[in-house]
Amino acid sequence: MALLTLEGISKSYVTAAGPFPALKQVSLAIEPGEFVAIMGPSGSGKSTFMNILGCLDRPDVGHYRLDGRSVEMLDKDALAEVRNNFIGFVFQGFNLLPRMSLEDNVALPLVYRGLGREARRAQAREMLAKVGLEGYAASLPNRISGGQQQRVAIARALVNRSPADPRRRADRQPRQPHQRGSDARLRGTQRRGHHHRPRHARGGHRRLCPPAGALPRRRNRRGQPDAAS
Amino acid sequence: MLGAMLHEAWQAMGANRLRTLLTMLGMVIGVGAVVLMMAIGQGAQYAVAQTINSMGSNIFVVLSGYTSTGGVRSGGGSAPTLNVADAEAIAELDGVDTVAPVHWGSVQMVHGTNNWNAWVHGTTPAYLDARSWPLAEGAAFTDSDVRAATRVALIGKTTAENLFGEEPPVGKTFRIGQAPFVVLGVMAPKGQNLDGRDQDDLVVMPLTTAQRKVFGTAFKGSVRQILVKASSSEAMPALEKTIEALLRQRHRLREGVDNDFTLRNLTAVADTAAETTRVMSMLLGAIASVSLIVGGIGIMNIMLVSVTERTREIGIRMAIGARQRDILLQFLLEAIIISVIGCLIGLLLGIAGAIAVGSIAKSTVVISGSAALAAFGVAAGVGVFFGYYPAHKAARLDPIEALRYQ
Ligand SMILES: Nc1ncnc2c1ncn2[C@@H]1O[C@H](COP(=O)(O)OP(=O)(O)OP(=O)(O)O)[C@@H](O)[C@H]1O
Ligand SMILES: [Mg+2]
Repeated sequence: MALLTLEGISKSYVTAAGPFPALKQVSLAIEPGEFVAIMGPSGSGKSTFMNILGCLDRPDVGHYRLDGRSVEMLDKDALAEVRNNFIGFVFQGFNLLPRMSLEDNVALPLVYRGLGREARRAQAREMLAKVGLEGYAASLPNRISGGQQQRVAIARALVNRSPADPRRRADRQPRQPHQRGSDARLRGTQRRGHHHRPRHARGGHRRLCPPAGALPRRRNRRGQPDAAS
Repeated sequence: MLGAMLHEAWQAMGANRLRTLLTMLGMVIGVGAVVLMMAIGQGAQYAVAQTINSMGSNIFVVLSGYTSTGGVRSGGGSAPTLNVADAEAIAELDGVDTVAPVHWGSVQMVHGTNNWNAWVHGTTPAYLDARSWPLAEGAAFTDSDVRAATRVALIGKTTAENLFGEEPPVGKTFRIGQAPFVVLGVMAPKGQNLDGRDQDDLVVMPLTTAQRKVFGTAFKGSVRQILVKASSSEAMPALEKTIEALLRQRHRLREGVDNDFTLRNLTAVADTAAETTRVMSMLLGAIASVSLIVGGIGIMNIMLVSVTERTREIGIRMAIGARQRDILLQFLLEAIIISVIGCLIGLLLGIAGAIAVGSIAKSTVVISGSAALAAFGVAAGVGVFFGYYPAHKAARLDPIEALRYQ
């Protein structure tokens, strides 16, 4: 079974000129362990789509099942827990908390998971080391370069994986540099016993490239359009 | 979790130090004012309670003279309307513990080169008992002194100090006019009465001595006042009526004629005084509480500003998994920390202020632990109460809207 299933997702923004349809009837399935890139021109609705995918925003119509659960049915706190446990965001603007040290920024998701101080520190430092920022734990976000900020954001997005997960390996960490367009990373934690390993080769990535406007044409794995408008 | 949140709250407060301090100042002033006012109010209550204790309990005073609604009317030279026989008749009534007739006046006393004016109470040995007034030194006079009208006296502490200075007064002699009097004892200090008069500036002597040898009254056996101590406070209402009826009968007052005496229930007077100070101290506390509420509103105001300023931060926190209660707790903690620290400082300043007032104004202040604890609880309550709405507002933000907030 697919980790994520989206069916007929539409989303409009309310603007002064009337409703602006940002997503029209998008359907998509992603298997555990897949590495998917969503590409498109600026303003084509990628961020809008990622927000829905990341359980931050709700679609106007359509169904979204995540790991077997209907996201529509979840309340605010349940969504927060889903985001905390399954989803790591690397926002377009990074969105680090300016007054906190890098270590505290990376450890923040763990605070909401109820981890103790020592565990949080250890995991945050380990994560920072993995993105090549060992010496910067105590720095503030506005005292490092833009690329370094991005790496911190990636570290924060990946830190909240359960340490007990046997599939948590260094080779699953993203390689630099990241596509700036990718707002969020979805991690299949494969709770149902899937054992796909992430494919790192570029050819192995699935790329979805909707044209500008409203993500009208996308392809599923077999190269067929899975949504049309 | 809580540790991390406390740490974060502390950091957030530190990021806006001046603002945090000013907000705290509201609480400091509020709590300080409450503590100070309570100390002053309780001090006043304590002082009144002391005075009431010094009056003796369950006491009636029967005063010679007519009563009008306004108070006692007693003509300057008119004859006292009460006499010793009245006192003896009252002593026979049920529910009466002790009766002491009192004849008084002001006299000039001399000892060596010292002159002193004091009140003389001529009475019976029951007087000390009725007023629950122990002796500090020496011994009281007895009934045989009253019968023989001996020139002996008990003196109050103030009188003793002014007349005898450093000398021990017991056994010494002073003069009133040419007549010498022997000091038998010194009464324990009682302090001021409800009118603020010093009760320790007093000479107590046998009734007959006062009547015959000091004031030389033309009306034999007359007294200005009769002290009646009831056996219990329950007996007082009934006793008040029977004393009045008895005296009207003895004085042959026909129906419709005003009493020629005034019966005062001192316990009731004392209760009124206690009630007055209690209301006064409550009023002080209430006024001070207003500043506490103003301080609370200050916290609410700043927390609302803070929530708005940190909308984006709230959005980020929600995006990485903060639940509504996490956000609520974060902002509530900040409000509580501000109010609790403000309260602690206010408590210290209030206590310091109370001690200063106590020593400058020489008035009694009472700093009670329970009052301090109550102020502390109220402050924490204020933090929760006024911090809740902004925190709730923060927790209810929509994550995506909050993230877009500029
Ligand atoms: N809050 C909003 N209100 C109104 N319109 C919006 C809002 N957010 C986005 N849009 C519009 O919806 C469309 C999709 O926006 P979105 O942010 O998803 O684009 P994107 O693909 O992420 O672009 P970019 O590559 O520039 O980040 C855009 O045309 C944008 O103008
Ligand atoms: Mg975008």
